[in-house]
Amino acid sequence: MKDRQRLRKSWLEIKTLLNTLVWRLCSSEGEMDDSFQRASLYPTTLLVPGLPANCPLLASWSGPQRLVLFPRPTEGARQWAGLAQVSWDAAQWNSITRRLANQSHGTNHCVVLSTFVLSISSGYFLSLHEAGREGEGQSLQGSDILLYSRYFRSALHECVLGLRGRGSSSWEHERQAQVFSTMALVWHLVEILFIEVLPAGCLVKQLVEWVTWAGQERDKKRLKEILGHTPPDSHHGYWRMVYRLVLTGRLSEARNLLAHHSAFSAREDVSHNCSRVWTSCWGRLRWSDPPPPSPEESSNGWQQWRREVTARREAGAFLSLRQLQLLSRCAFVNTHLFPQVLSGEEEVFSEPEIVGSCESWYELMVARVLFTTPLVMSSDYDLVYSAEAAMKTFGVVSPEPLDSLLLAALKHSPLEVVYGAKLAEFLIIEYASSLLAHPSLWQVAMDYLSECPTQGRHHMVLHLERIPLTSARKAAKVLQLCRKFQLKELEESVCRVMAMKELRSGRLGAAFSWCLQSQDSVFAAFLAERYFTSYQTLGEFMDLDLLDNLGAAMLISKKLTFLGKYREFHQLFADGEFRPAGQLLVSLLTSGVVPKRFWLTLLMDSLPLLNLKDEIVFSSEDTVALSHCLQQLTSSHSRIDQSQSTSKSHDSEKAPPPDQSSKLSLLRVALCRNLALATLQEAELS
Amino acid sequence: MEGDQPSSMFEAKPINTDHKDLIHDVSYDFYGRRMATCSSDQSVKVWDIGEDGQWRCTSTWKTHSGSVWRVTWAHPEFGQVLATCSFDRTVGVWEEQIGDQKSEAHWVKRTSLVDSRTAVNDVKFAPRHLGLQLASCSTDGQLRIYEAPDVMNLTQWSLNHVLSCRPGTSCLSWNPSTVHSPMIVVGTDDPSTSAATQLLIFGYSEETRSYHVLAVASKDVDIIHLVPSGTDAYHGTKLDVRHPAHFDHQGAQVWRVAWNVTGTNPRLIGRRWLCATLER
Repeated sequence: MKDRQRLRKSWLEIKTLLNTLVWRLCSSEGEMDDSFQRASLYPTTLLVPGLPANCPLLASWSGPQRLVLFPRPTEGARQWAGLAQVSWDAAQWNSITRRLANQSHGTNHCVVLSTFVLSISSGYFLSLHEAGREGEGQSLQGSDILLYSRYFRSALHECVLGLRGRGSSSWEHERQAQVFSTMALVWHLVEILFIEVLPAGCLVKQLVEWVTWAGQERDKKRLKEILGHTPPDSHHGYWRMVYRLVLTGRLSEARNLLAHHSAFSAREDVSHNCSRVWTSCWGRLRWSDPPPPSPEESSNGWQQWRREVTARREAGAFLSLRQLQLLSRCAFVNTHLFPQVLSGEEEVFSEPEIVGSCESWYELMVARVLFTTPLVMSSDYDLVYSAEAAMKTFGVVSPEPLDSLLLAALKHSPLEVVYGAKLAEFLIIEYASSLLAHPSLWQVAMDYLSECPTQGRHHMVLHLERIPLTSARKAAKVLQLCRKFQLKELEESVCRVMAMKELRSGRLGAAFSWCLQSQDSVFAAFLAERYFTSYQTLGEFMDLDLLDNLGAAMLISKKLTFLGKYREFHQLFADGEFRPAGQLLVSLLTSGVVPKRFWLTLLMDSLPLLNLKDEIVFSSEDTVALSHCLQQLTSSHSRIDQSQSTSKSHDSEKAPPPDQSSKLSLLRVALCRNLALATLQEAELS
Repeated sequence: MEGDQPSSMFEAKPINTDHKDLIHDVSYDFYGRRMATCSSDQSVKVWDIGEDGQWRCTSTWKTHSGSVWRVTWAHPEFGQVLATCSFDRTVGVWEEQIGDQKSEAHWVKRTSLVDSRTAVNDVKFAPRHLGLQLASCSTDGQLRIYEAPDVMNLTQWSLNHVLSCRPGTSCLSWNPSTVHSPMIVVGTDDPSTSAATQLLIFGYSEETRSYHVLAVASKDVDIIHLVPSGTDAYHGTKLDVRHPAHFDHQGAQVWRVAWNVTGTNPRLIGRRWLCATLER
């Protein structure tokens, strides 16, 4: 269990470290020192076209990574009334599209690729975590992680091919392609060291594969070029290629290349000797066999190899090659290096020809490891020693970020120790923020933020509330995320914003539906009041189906309950069920749920019930209750009348206009009559 | 941006506004998709961003009888609402009305706040969680805080607080943080003497239901680190002003002040960038 968690944690760290650090390799202008926080304070100066020169500027934030500038009013700038909008980080996602549009290519294949890579990397990242979460009982298989890792690498590779594949690739494409291929390089090493851990002896093979992977195409091309020459050994890169092939363990190819040497074909015994050396010694290593040999077998194999090579060298088997050297008269070819390389003598790896045939220090390191300590395990210090020695030999004085990254991976140093605490989280947040610069990547950003235990939630809320709610669908997506992460306040806020939009267009029913989604009682009360006011003015209900299907949602606010019940009253009345309707009306008025300003409407609704010819709906008690309400209304109106002369009145309770007083008197008459009839009826019954 | 520049990640493009005079303020709505500009030509223009990423002016109208200094948007929860302040000593609150056709939209004045005796230099809406509140600061150093108790009725605003600062208040900003109690930072700037440049931070205390000064910072301080240091007489958080860092800076005037998104970083923008951080 603990292992799985540790594995998951290091996966997260490594993955995001790569995703962000390597990204910053090509993007940052500040130095990559230990303090990432400080790096962001180095100012970048930008010349903005179109603004008047030497003019003080004012600025305003316009969104994530966007700023708008306008000149500070001074005498000189009086004539200029314009703005300049500056954005950054969006260029990583958008520049390809913009350039393509300008050059009327009309496709945004590459930006799709970039976003695709990130989406699937996010997708794999997530499915990995989900797989880990779902099967708590099952263990997170190392093979699963390996699978995801390989998918990720192939996605990166595809992206690089896509970016480089365009006919006229711009500088921007190349830069992005470089970033991605560096990412692939680092990722591959990480995969070898941490994810696919094979028994001793296999690591070195993986390392060789790693080093040759990136340069495969280039090597093939060069080889072809060399072989195309006649004779091949006259090509200036011939011996360098031979060295390269030997150093990267491709001995059979090296042998073939040597066989093309003019001297070889001339002298049978030379070639015969060489092939014997090659096949007998190298063959025993079973270098290319699919099932890797066991550690003991490997160890034996290497020891035998060394013995044979040393023996043959001492016996002079390679003398013939030295003759080759005399023949070719190439001053810089020291073929006596070959046996030294093959037998793994350390000093030879500092020879200039050897160093010169390597493209980078890690190639030299792998060559060194291959021939000196081939049985190295990823946890051995030999690896680090070789790396550092190779770096020194190669002349790497101040390590670039890539170099320190590779070295850190080789050293297995916990990244927090190297760079400071909470690095992983900081990087994820940085990465998610840069994703937000492009409008289509916000969901990916949220997924990443959700994986940050301490600060992720805070940032998520802040960013999520600023996602523009351009359509109902987008709002629904945001709401889904809110519910998933239990961001109640944000859910309410989003629903309110959408409801306000509907309200401004007069669609009360739609506003209601948004409000009910978040169960926002305060807003529901506000909308219910609005609804009722519109009923009062229009005389009829709008959006009836919403009211009818409220169901349990009625209970989120008292005013909403009232509205629901009121609708029920109307339905009962329409169905002819006068008694229940009357009871409902009385209960509404006496429950205190209804605000005073709506009382008159309800009382007026009781009029038809009071004036029924053949039925007495209200009992005497009910009638008394209704009269009481009426009394309260009229007394409050008279109070307003009195106070109106002395102070300003507020709009909620105005003095009743003339037609309202006639309504009141009608009510009074009807109530009195009903009271009389009801009392009589009850007296008869008892 | 030329192709051979190593980091061409910055892009800049000009926007032609057609204002007849200098632009004093540009403000974006909460989502960054609508923009309002105000100018010495006494008008405000509202812009919307289209699908193609270009800004289009959808409304322009005369708002005041003097130069309009600032314009600010309210949170979309309250609808599409703008506030403007001007040299003519008034603050205007405007709401967008949608006509019958969707494309028709015009802005209606809801109220004019005329309490100030001098030009009003800045106006800002409070963060959403404080309700619909507005703060304005005037040249005579008065900071006024208004509230609309009924968010649907933008014609009724009550003046809740008047706070006195030194004359010459030029800018203000609300702290957007939801974890701290309400806080406003006000910049004062007396152009006659550069020594008068100052930041004042007012905090709201529930006990006394009023705002009082939490911290003062002068212009020489570039990075201000505000650390809670116990409670003061009002049981509010007293803040210690510390200066952990200093950038190269010569005599900035206070033009703008703003908190960053998490509400922990009021920034003062003069000719140089200054930063302050607030610790939780």
